[in-house]
Amino acid sequence: MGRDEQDLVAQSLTKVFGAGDTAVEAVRDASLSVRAGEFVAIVGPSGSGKTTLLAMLGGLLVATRGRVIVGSTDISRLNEAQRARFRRERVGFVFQGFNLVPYLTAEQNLLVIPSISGKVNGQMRARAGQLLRELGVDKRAHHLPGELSGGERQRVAIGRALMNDPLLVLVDEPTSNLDSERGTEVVRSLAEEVKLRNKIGIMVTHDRRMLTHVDRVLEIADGRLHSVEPSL
Amino acid sequence: MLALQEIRRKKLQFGLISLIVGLVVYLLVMISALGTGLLSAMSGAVNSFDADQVVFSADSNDSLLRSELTAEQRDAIVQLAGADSTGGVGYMAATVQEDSAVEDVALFGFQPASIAEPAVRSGRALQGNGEILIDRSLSRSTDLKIGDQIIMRNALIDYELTIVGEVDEGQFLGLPSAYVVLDQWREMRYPGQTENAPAASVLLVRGDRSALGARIEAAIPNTSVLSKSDAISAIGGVTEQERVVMAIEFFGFVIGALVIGSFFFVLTMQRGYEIAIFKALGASSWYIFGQLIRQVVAVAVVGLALGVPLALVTDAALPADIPLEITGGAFLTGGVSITIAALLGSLLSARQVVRVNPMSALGQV
Repeated sequence: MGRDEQDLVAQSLTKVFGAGDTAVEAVRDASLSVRAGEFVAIVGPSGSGKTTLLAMLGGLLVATRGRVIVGSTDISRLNEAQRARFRRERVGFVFQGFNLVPYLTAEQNLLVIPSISGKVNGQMRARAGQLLRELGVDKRAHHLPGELSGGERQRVAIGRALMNDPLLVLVDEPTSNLDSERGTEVVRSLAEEVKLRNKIGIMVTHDRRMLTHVDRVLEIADGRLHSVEPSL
Repeated sequence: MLALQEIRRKKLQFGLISLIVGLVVYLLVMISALGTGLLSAMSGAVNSFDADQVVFSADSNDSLLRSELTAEQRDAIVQLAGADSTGGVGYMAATVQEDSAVEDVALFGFQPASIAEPAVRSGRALQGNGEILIDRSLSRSTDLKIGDQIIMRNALIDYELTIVGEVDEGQFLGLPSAYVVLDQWREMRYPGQTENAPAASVLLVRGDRSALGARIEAAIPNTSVLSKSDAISAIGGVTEQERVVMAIEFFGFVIGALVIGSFFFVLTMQRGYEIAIFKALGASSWYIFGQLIRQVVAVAVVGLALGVPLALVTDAALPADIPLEITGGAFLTGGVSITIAALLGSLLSARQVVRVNPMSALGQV
């Protein structure tokens, strides 16, 4: 079972919150592996541990047990500053409700990423412009999020997630603020980008209607992860 | 870039805080200027002495009002310090009759052709008794001008003097000053007993305090040597006044720090979620705090740009007899303290920035 340098492998991930009698196992013994170019959905009701799992895969939370290897990096061994750097350089996040910075234009929202790394330059500006163009929102580059339609905001958020050319694109509940039609639209374009750019794509959602464009579905319930046959 | 973009989009919020900071700067500059103005109203004449040290009689408690040096003391000091480096000065309170009005004046006598002789800015130097120099504050507050005959009265005796020149403004104890030669002063100060009268109130001396001053105090009985700045501090009320001004400046500083600090504290609180997103994207607390500092500095700079011209306009608009002296030091005090206050205030938010958990970006705390 040869592992590609571009893959994500999680082994026996467990996350325990609290200690003693009040300890809660949010995620139990979860293992998964995702190849580059693959777009995987993790489905579960709220409280199932899916967000905790996503946070461990993206280096936001440290697993209590088990490990996560992304590309050639074992992120379970990183300290806090190293994990921040890992997120900065290797992860693209699409947050719930997309969460663009309201006082920055679409283009500036993309430039947040190089700004955090302290390297806003002509090359990065060109990259931001190119991403906006590829996502079809280049005409809206100088508009504030408040002036954009819901769909345009989604595409800007996807652009931001791709800005650092990450290995890993993590998507948190893409549909929480959207009707299902627009929701499937975002998922479709995310799936496209993941394939096109050969990223590791992982999305968590509670909404089963979003699963039409993903390669694989994993289900999480009470912190336990099961794979689901692609019956859809 | 991002930090300044936020200011651009939140013009009202940042505009208001900058205005308040501007007013605090204005307050600090005005207090500092008032402090300088009050100090020079109390001691400007002493400050204009072209000397390093002032010799008082020891029993005067270092007061220009009470100090009296005898001719023997004077001669001994001149012998120690050299005639070129000494000059006798006499002081008395006097009044000038001007038509029906009476003006209080600090009258100084100086030893002619010594270091005690003040620099004449217009008109000419004194040539002997019967002539007087007035300072700019006296010519400004009255109609007196060069060429006028004035009557000065002391102990029921009238002295008729001619104004022959003008010197730079230099008040003493809040009074405008005037200068006569030392002989004239002795005649007015000790009428009818000039034979046995003191030679001068104090002696100005040029030279190093630790060596020369100590030698004078050791060799000549009943002398007390102070540096010029100590002599100014010894003027009744000057030290207290400086303390009051400093206390007010300190309060202004604290208020500035608290105003700026609370503004950014509230702003940071409101931005908790946004900060979480930045952290989730990989930003360090340092990066976020760096953005905050840029905004703090921008607010301080705009505040200065508002407060400083306001102070200049006020200074120009106020009548000259209000003791307000805007100097470079006043701007430095206002500018430096508001910048320090702003940075201290922003520290209030530092802990908050550190405490934001990036997990809240995923809707979990």
